[in-house]
Amino acid sequence: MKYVVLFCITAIMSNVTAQPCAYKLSGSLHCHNKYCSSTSGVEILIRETNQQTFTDENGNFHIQNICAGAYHLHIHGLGFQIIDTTIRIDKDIQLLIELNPNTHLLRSVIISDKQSKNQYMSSASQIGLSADEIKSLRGLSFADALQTLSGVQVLRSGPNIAKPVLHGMHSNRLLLLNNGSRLEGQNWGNEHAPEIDLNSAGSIEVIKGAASLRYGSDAIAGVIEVLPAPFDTTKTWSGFIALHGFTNGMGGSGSGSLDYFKKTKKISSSLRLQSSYTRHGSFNAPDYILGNTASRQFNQSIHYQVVRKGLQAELSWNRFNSRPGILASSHIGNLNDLNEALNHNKPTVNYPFTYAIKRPYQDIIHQTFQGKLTYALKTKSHIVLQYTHQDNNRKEYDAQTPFSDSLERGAVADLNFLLITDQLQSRWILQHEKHSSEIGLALGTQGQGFRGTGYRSLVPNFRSYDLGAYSIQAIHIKQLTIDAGARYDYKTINTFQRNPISLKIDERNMEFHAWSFNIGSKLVTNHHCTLKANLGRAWRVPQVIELFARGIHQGAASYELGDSSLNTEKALSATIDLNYDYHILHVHTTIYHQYISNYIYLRPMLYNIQLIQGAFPVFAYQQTDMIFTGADIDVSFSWSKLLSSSHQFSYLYSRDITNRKYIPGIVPNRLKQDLIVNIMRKTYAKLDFNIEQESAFVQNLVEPESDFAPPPPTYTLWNFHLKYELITAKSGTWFIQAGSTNLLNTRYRNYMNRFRYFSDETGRNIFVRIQYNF
Amino acid sequence: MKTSISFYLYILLFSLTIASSCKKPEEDVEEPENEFITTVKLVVTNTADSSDVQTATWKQLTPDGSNPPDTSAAFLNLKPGSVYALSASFLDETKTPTENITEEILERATSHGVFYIPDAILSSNITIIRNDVDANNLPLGLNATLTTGTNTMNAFMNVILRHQPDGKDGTITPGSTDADTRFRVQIKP
Repeated sequence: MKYVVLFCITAIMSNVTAQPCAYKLSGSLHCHNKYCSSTSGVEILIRETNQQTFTDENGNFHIQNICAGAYHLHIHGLGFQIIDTTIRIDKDIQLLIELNPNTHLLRSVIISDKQSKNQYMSSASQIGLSADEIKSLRGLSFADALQTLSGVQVLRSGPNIAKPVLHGMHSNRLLLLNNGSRLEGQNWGNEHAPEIDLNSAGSIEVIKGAASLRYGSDAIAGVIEVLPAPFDTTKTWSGFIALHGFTNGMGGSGSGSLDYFKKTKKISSSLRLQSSYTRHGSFNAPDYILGNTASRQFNQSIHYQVVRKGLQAELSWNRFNSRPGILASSHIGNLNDLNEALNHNKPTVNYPFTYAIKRPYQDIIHQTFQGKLTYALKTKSHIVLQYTHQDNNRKEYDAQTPFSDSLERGAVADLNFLLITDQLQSRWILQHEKHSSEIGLALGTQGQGFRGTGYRSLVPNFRSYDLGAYSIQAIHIKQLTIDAGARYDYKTINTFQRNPISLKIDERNMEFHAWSFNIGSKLVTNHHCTLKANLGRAWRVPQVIELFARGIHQGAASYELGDSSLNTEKALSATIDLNYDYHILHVHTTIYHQYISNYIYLRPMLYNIQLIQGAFPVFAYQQTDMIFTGADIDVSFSWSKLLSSSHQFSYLYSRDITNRKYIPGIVPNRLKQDLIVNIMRKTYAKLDFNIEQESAFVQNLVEPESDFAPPPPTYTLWNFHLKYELITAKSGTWFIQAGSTNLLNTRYRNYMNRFRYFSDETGRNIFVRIQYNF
Repeated sequence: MKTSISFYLYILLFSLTIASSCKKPEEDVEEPENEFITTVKLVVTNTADSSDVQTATWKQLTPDGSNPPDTSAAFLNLKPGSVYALSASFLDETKTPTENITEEILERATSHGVFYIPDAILSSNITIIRNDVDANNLPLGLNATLTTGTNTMNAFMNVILRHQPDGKDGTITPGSTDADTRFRVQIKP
């Protein structure tokens, strides 16, 4: 590693004394259109000098030793329209090239300087999923799709509920953005999956570390940003239809999107209707059926956009509805039940396969309304004004229908939360060649109501107001960008809770305010190397559950106690990110270290509380100082035109440095390797074969006796798929994928599954995906 | 045209803000409407002497655990070598009048079971036979016959209500625990 960094530095040193014929042309090809195929292997040719190269698997390319002058540049790749353009080279040039899929229509090509993209956060470590990658993940949950990225893992509660974990942190420490607004769901719960439909995403970006000030102070682990696919402005009608079928759970999903584009003299407008539906029955572990794991999901969205000169207005609505069944064998009562479950290595009841979703289950509806105005000013700057209204209704139904005289008792949820959030954001962004600047202001209010069974109010009702203001400045000096930003946030929370004895409503008010900051740099040396460093401070207000929890956590056989005197959690995060390309080798490494003071976690108190349901171990929300140190190492090789491989390794060490102990629930180290064979590659079609090995190592960083059972042992899974893409004469594209996950039907348990005490993970699954884009 | 688009949008945003500000979910702090098991009550009647009736209760009036349970009356005083008819009931005493949840358990008999588990020392000196059944002819356990041995002793017995929506087979194994209470049993002439 040290040598690579050194290499980067010497490379830029030599760059300063560039000779007339020592200029470099480098850049990356992108295709954000959803009809895109992979931007790897695209030919880049300078006609005059016959200097030629091909893009690597990430779409990056570089040509060295170019003399000053004007040249014709020829860019030609499978499935893309050929680009012939002129370019003037009198310095090292870096290009960001937007490709359009190959059709009969003449399409515009946007070539812009690479630095203009995301420059405010250019020092942040970033990875993502492109439209092309999402295509081969459709039908999966949002978190399961993200898991393919280096450094992202998943926390599950059975097979249906999954939430993303980044660098060992999740829930409130990991900010989710849907089209520029914070997703405000019930993200505090471990068994609360994010309310995002993967099919509605055009692309997804993950920013690692506390590097984002734009959307809030609380992104301690990072930010996951879901971006809608851009509208196709070359056709009146466009869209896609995708189908996915799978054997484990005998399920299927379908999704589709239809875009309409119309252009008059001055105004162009676009409308998108999108929907997806997924349904499956009970999943199988290798040896038995996982009881009550059927689920269904039905989502819709409408997106409307008007562009007139410098003004762009957007209106959107989306609705997410999911009803996951909860693993029946995880539904236990007290500590004796848990011990009984631990004594059996399989569930005591043989559950039948069914599509019926019985109690216990969840039913979640999340709706978002959004209005956004972008207005370009003359001075290379623009203003964004964005309003978002979110309505989140989470219903949880216990295994037992509530005891009640009420006739509607069967339909009444045991937990029923309604969370309503309104956010108003505005920002002013200036983009100059040597300097860029952003100033923003955000206002928000949130109210939560609870219905259902009175005593089971895990969290009280609340109303909160928040205000945030930030500024981010960046300067660009040749290949070096330095950025710095600061943010101030103020938040006030009023809670209303019914006293269980007096039945009076206790009202409480809390106020929090603090600064967060961020400083970083990005160094693009020659084509081989990009080095980023970032230091950020973030903080998080304790969640209402952490402050006020009191009661049994269903399915966890634990009694949780909040602490209303908890303080804000503060994180200091340092991230170093290196991208290195050399011949067949591509390396992307992220190294991070976080120090978090007042880290809130659920501590086992090692005593039991006696309730009428029996004895329960007590867990209390407490604060301590933690460190998280880790690395995501991503290495890939393009061995030949036919063969490439990729190797991902994620490592994390974390420790409670106050008590000198490990805390439970930290992600284990993970290794993932892919071997990709290009079986066929023609101008109109390609066929790939991919075999993947996935290992999660045993988590040894646990205290003895701190968990109900020791962490599960290391496991390795094998997956494979075949992928075929075809471009038809009518400018449509077909995508067909077939394969299997857990090919060997391996029995295993996953440390990051909260229900690991009760059953094995799912067994072999064979799937087929078909997508047609038009 | 430009102004009309933005005007239209502003109106829309404004109306959305107004619409949303009308809804205040947090003000809806409901009274608890469902029933909770707060009390397990056992009534035993000596079949040979109808005046020998014992009542024992185990109660916790704050189901969230904010107050400890009251076990002062969780005590049965039985005579050796006798046969008792036992009936168990489950109550919500936070309601006025007290709600009897036993009726609802009876309605859902096929997915419930009451189990009497004496401690090892007691089990040699007491026999409990459940004598009511559900629609599937599997034992329910709200009524039982309790026969005491001849030894004098003072020991404990657990009364457990199991929720068994899947796989109820008459044993305690399937399902989850709704109530698990411990009663002191004294057998003394």
